[in-house]
Amino acid sequence: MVKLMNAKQYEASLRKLKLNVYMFGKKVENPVDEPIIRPSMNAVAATYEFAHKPEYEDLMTAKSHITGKKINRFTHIHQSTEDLVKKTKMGRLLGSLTGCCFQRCVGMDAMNALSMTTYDIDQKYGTEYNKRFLKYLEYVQENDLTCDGAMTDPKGDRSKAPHQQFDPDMFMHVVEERPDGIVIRGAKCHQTGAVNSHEIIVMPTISMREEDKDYAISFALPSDAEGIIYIIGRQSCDTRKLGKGMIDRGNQIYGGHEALVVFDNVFVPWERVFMYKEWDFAGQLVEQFASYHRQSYACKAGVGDVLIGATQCVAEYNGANKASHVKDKIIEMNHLNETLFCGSVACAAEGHRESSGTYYVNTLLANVCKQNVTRFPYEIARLAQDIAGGIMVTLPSEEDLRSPEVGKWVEKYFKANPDVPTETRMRMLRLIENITMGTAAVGYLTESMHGAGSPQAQRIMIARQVNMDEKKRVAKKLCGVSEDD
Amino acid sequence: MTKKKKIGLKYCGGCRAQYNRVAVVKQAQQTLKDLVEFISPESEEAECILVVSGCKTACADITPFAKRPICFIAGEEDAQVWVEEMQQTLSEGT
Repeated sequence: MVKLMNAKQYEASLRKLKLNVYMFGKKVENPVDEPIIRPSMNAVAATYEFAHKPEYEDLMTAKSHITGKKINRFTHIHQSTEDLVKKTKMGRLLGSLTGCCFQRCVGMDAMNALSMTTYDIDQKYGTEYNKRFLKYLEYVQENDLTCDGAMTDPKGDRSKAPHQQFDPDMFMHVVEERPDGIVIRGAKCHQTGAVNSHEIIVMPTISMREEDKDYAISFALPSDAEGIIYIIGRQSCDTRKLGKGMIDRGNQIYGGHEALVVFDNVFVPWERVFMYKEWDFAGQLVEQFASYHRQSYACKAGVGDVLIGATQCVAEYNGANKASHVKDKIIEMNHLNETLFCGSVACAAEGHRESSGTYYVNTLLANVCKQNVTRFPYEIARLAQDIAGGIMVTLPSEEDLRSPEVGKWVEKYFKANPDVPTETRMRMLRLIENITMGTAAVGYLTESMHGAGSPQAQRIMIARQVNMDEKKRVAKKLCGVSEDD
Repeated sequence: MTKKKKIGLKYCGGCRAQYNRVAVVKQAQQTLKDLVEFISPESEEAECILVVSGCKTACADITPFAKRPICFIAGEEDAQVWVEEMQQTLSEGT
């Protein structure tokens, strides 16, 4: 029987991990209850909780192709284009319910990419990576685990290949081969939800040549394996979560986190190694993971739903909701937001079956989807700030609102629509601040820019995949130019 | 006492629901409380399945219920019509 965990069970499972976490220069003995990290744990916990709700379970769960049992969709290998579309819809749903990055998609994307690449390596080299991977996958499904998908190496000098770096640890690499496994060293940057994960799945970060074969490795480790160290990244306004009251946090329940994950001579048993020096498959794994992950950014349309809702509320609280330019700006926000969703749905609906049996997104459309994501949330955020007004960044704190000395002035001079309490207006403005420039802006804006590859990475893929010859051929035909001209 | 009709309740995932599906079902449940009992769609006791979709795409997976009668709701008006039909049909049967 699969243990489809609920939120409480998930939290309890995290408490059993012995993670080596650092923040603000100190070791965090209890990451689950650490106030800066806690909201991100709540967001992952939501992926467990909603899987038990009848009104969400059609998206949140799937049937395992290995065991036939009901599993959380985040541990599923896509078996049809319907599965791919449901993945897109799940992302939007969760973004719209949490207003932040819920962190669990990256492991799902890593597993789906590995289900294909391990199969293809085996076909070429007669290895048994796919068998190993499927055994690991079954373990993940049976225990309903959260996996961190770790791709981005520090990369050092960007003009140099891994083997040419001034420090070999700039890319994850093998330092020792043993009869029972390998020892690896390096680091992975920007690891979303790392401290909320049971497992870490490591992949190479770029295409490689034969000279880089020691860097062409993929494997999975328990997140508390000996030698793994997490250093939590700062977020804009993160210490709001340490202050008195809840209003200034904006989103009072959910959030996200990223960490630098250091692998300091960590042992990996052979049964958890899914690529070992097959340098010619590093690029394929990167591309497959990136394409799935570019689809995953449907979540930003979900966060956009929250931001649009908050903006409409503030327009009403300000008494500006009937102004034609405000209405038009909110229409524009919705237009951009639904366009984001369109790209993700399209690349899923146009997906196909790979040799391994896994369904894979249309990569051109996935890259178009993500390219839009690098831009539109910024414009949606700009419009939200336009409508919210400058008060969003000049508003006094909750403590001032509660102050016996100045609270009455805050109450009086920050009231707009007389039917709306000042506190209500402050709460909504803080939520907009949170998403567009606070802790959630890490996920909604900069992650939209650089997560799953920076904008130029998608442009290169788009250029590679459009059929330019056919476009030219038809253009020539229609205007009477010969094929040879 | 009249035996209530057991109806398996199946929701879509609700990614862009155009109305509050749970509230609509709660209202229907209240209106039909003497006639209908909503149960898990996976239960073999379900005499028919009510599929509640958030929009007209109606993407809920209904393949497991192929052998049972299925009704669809994709909006508040649909729900009202369905409730009235159930009231009429089940009241006539009592």
